[in-house]
Amino acid sequence: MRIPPGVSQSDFAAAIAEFEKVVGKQWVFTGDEDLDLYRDAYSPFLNEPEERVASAAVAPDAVEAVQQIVRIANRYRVPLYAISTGKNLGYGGSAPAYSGCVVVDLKRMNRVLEVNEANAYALVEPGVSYFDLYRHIQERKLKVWIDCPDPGWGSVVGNAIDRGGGYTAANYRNHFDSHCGMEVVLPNGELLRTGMGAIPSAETWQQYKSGCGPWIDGIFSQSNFGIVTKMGFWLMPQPEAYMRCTVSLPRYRDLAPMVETLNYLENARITSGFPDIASPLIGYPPIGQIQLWNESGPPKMSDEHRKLLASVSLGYSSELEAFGLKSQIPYWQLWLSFHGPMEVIEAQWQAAQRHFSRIDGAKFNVVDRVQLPLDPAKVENFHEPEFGIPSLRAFSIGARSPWNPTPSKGHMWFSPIIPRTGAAIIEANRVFSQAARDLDMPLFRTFTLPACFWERSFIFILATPVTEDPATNKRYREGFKKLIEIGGHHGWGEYRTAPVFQKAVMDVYSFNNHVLRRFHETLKDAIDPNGVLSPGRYDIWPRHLRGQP
Amino acid sequence: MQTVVFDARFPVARTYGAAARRKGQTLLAIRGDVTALWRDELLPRWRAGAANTLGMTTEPSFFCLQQLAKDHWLRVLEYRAVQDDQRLVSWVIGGADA
Repeated sequence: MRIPPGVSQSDFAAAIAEFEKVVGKQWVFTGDEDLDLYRDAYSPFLNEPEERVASAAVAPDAVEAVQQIVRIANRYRVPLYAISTGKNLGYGGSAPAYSGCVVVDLKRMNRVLEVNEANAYALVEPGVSYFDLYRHIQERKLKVWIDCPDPGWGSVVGNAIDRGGGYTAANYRNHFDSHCGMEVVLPNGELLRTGMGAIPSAETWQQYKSGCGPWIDGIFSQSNFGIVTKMGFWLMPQPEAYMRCTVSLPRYRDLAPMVETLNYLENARITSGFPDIASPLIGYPPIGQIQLWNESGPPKMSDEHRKLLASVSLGYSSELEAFGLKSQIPYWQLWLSFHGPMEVIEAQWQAAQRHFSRIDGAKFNVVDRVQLPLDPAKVENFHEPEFGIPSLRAFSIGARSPWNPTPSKGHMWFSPIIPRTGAAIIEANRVFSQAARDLDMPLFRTFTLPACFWERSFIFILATPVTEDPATNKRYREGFKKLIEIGGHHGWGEYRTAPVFQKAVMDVYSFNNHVLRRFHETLKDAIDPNGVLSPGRYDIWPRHLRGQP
Repeated sequence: MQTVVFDARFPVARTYGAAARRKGQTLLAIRGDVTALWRDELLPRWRAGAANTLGMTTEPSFFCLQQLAKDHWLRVLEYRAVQDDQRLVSWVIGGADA
């Protein structure tokens, strides 16, 4: 049996026996084969001694059991690590931040407690996946949409408290922002409800977020101050229609006004769907088309075009631009989407065109006009998550194909937040492409475009491969940490990261001598004095473990 | 009865599927994407504690199913590269007692 560090064998055996009494022997796992299921498939320490692994796992099916598990852990000082379904691959998976923790696996708590169609919200347990919630809604023919990430296999609660994002309308894409009300088991085993849930008779727990007094929901995300056992979410009323359009721009210098115009249109709610920036001239696909590119290959490119691309700097050369103008291949292409009554979204598209027309040479195209719901037979013609439909097609992206002859074993997402300007896109390319060259990391081809999950910032996402060679992985890990540091010098910090890099990322959030970290630690000491809940998550360590790498 | 998954885009996998059919095994075809296979076929079987699932697919399709099988505490019992087509792997997923 594996033993958590600092816990005696007899105490651990006693704790395990008590866990078994709470959940039943079949839901406590201590054997190596069972615990292998909790390894991070994309661990940057794949098959190395430093890989973070669990000592045991326990799978409760009710909040009362979670409370008892936490109390037992306090009695024996056994560190726990709570997961919902553990599917956030690239950001840590189901492996603990601190090796030796007992994973509290919440996937058996998989009840959809309520979906309210009339006021468009849901209340779910942490084991409910996007597929589960989608199925629940479809089976009852409820006219609401979920917003899911891609792939949509993970937990609705887990993704939100990890601050993941999706692809429908702006006010639903930020999954933590679109939550409303939480139930949390505190480190002493007490049960807390936030917002209106703090009033025992309230019917508005999922209708008004903040209740009265300090709004504390944020401290239970990317943290270790409690185990979230229920969470409410606002859902999107099923729109009547959907329209997807492109704005094509001919010149490199059009990037800045394109972003500026997009920002206005999105912040003014003139465009609602996921904006997707591509470059046909550079050969950079919109996120919504990556799967199609991977399945059937990217658009054909002439030899002249390919040759010109090989000599660009930061995605630019005057020769490439001239070639694009001559061949009518846009430098930039912004994919916009609209949800709502057809007459409304047609008017929104007209307004969007009027704003983009200020950029010389802008061209417009309607790709799809669709009455909703989608015809099931045609769903696969679209990027399903943009319709709130969970999918697993993203996995085709990593498949070996003529366009991807040497797929990696996995990846670590490097995903700093950068300003939402054209200048920031170019600056991030300059800084990180130079760093990638210096560090000999395979992160860049010609130019990278950011993702537009959030309304007022970009995420500049780069996938760092995980390989089967420990020496290569070591080099990439060190390079990844260097990228974090370099980003920090420019004011760019990760929005989310795997446990291995959480210290490095939080080091960057250093204002006023790391007062943010010190505040987190003060909270941790106050509410979890034994340090049993998820030690080390987002670099928040209990007092007795501070100074961990 | 065992369930057999094969990626119908690949001749070697189709041959594998045909052999499984002759043995009377339940045959499920995919073309890369495992969404419908998992949602409509494997998930209900796995929830019901079905016997082993066998397959010949691409590595990403296998990987995706492997991760989803963990939700039911199922694991990979066998895994090997397919000699006749390096884009494919063959595998068996099942429970500890299988």
